[in-house]
Amino acid sequence: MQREHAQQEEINRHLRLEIETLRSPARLEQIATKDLHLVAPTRDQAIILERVTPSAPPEKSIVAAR
Amino acid sequence: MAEKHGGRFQLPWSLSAQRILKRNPAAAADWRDVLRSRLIVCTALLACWTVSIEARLVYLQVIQRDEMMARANRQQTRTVSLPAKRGEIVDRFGHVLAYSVDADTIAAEPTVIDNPDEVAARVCAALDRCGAAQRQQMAERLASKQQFAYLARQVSPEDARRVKALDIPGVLFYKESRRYYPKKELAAHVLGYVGLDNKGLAGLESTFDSRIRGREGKMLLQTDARQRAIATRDEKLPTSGDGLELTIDEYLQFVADRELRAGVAENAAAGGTAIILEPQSGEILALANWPTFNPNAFKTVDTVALRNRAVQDYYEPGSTFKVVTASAAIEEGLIRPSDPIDCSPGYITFGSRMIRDTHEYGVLPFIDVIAKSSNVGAIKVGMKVGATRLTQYVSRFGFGQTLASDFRGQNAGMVWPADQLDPSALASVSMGYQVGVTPLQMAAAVGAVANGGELIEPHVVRAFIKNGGRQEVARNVVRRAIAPETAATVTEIMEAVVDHGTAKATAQIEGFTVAGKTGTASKAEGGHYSKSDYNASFVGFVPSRKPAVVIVVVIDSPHAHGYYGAVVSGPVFRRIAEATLRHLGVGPTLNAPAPVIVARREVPIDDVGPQPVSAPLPSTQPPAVTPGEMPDLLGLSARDALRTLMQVGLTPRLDGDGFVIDQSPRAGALLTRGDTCVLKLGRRPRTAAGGTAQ
Repeated sequence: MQREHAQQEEINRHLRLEIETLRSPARLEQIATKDLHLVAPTRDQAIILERVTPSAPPEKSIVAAR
Repeated sequence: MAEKHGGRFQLPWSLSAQRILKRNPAAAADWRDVLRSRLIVCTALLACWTVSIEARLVYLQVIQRDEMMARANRQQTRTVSLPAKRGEIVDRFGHVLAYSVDADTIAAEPTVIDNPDEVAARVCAALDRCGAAQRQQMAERLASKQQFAYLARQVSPEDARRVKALDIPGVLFYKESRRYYPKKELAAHVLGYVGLDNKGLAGLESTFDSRIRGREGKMLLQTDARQRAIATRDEKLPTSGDGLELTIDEYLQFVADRELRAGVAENAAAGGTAIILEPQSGEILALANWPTFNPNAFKTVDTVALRNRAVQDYYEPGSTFKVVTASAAIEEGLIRPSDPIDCSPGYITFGSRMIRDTHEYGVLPFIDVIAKSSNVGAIKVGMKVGATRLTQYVSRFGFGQTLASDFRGQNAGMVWPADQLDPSALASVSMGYQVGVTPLQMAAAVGAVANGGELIEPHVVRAFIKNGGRQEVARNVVRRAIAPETAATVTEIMEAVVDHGTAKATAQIEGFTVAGKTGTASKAEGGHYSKSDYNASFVGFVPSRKPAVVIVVVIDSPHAHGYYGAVVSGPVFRRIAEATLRHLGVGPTLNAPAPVIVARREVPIDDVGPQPVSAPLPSTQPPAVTPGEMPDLLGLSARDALRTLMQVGLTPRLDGDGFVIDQSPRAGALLTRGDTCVLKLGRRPRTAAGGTAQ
């Protein structure tokens, strides 16, 4: 039982390593640009929703600056 | 007599003896003597045998007890060491950068193996990558007649499976922990690498080896005569090493790597460094060097690629160092940005040495001396500051010191003491020659200007992860280098460099104010300054009034399109900065669009009645999905809308970009799985009443 647990855990570690290898930004960019022909957004295409909201907003609204 | 004997011996044969005695009494007396003497001898022998056995037992079990017990233990038990797992290294968002898993190691008992050459050839043939040299080495080890020999360490699971299938007697398999770097070259110089024995050899793996490595465990197995395990007798579990959470952002590190590599390639340069630093905290978001290496295969790499240039190599910074000269002059109240400085006639002499400007500028305000990077002007200001004070500021900005304790083998750089600076040397220092700095020191110094004057220790370890707990590394303020007012003034001067100075054409970023300084320095080779090799650098921070990042780019020996820092390193800086600002979600600082006021969705959108501000908030949760019914997607971002459509099993078709302003079929329509849905997207979320949000 203990041995089986250890084996499963090790398999889990190998899978996690595989996931992390596949998640490599270099690989993702290669797929995005070469296979899917995506391009980085230009300034006009990218909208930044600011993470920090300035001073307390009015009761019924919030500020979602972009 | 017979009765007497019979009574004494009570032997079973006494009846037959009595019969003999009756026939011949004399013979009977002889027989008794013989029997008695033989019995005595037998008894004595028996007694000796018993005593000797007893004595041996006493000797073994009492006198030799400890030694015998130890020998028994040695023969009946086997100690197996349980290797500890090295702690994992993750980036600031938990993405794994270094990880340990068990790998198979193939070993052998050479004494059991009869034909070493044949076994070596078979094992080698089963391995994926095994050349003649490795096969020869295996054969030699197998021929050595030692108890144990490694054949191949830390092989892939497939390799191990193939060798196991050969089923060669005397070949053993066991697990060893092996370090993997799943992102390969990413942050290789920061992470370092680990040797076969699980010991960190470079980078953070070496600096924090004792913490990351953990403690080895032990297991005591009881074995039978054939050394097969039958029970576990004692066990000490291994303790895993501490994990490291870095300040590195995996994506920004990738961007820095990519842009630096592109910059080096475009300029046919020998190498380079790029650093992204958060000036308020001293956290290093990315540290890239070129050439770089794959830490999974560090043995096959040229030693030049293994060098962490950002901290191990110093360079003469050239004009980027004028930031220090300017800071000293302003802090000491010797000059104001608008004060005129005469830079004519475009050169200055010290004995036979002549230092030139690229153009003859005439009289310039101090701000433009730095913006246009006049050497003559900077030297005149440096002379005003004087050797003692300038050296003090050089130290206050951290030059000549090893600042970052996270890096091993740091170079402190080269700073001359004040008393050795003659006017010519002082002139050199004023414009960034005769002083050696590392790119990381430069980043920390410019970081001090960016954050309002505090020199903060640049660090790459954000927290240690121990037993699930997180020990955060505190921000360490080394000292105050300059006053906040001075920092603000120097920032204005650096803004001028990008606004209308040397970096105007190459480092401006649309929508943001950028503060920067270019630097071009001839490399010293063999006691002379080279006429062909230069270090082209750019340091800067953005947005300049509320800096998110400091970026340093140094390109070594560019040979393609000129060698000036503005031309070579400026574009690399700009590309890194643009991607960084987008990734960090930093909004434009110039002509920023007004914030959009949108209501919280507290009342259902289909409620009738007046609603003053009622646009659905882009970040609201996607609507609850009823199977077979078209959901209401209005106001959702394209991504959220797609996610919702995936749930109901519709094929989406998008028109435009932004948020969903119209949808077909309408909300509530009955659907068949596989239907196509057309979404019309627009920039501004439409309010329920049909207007647009402000």
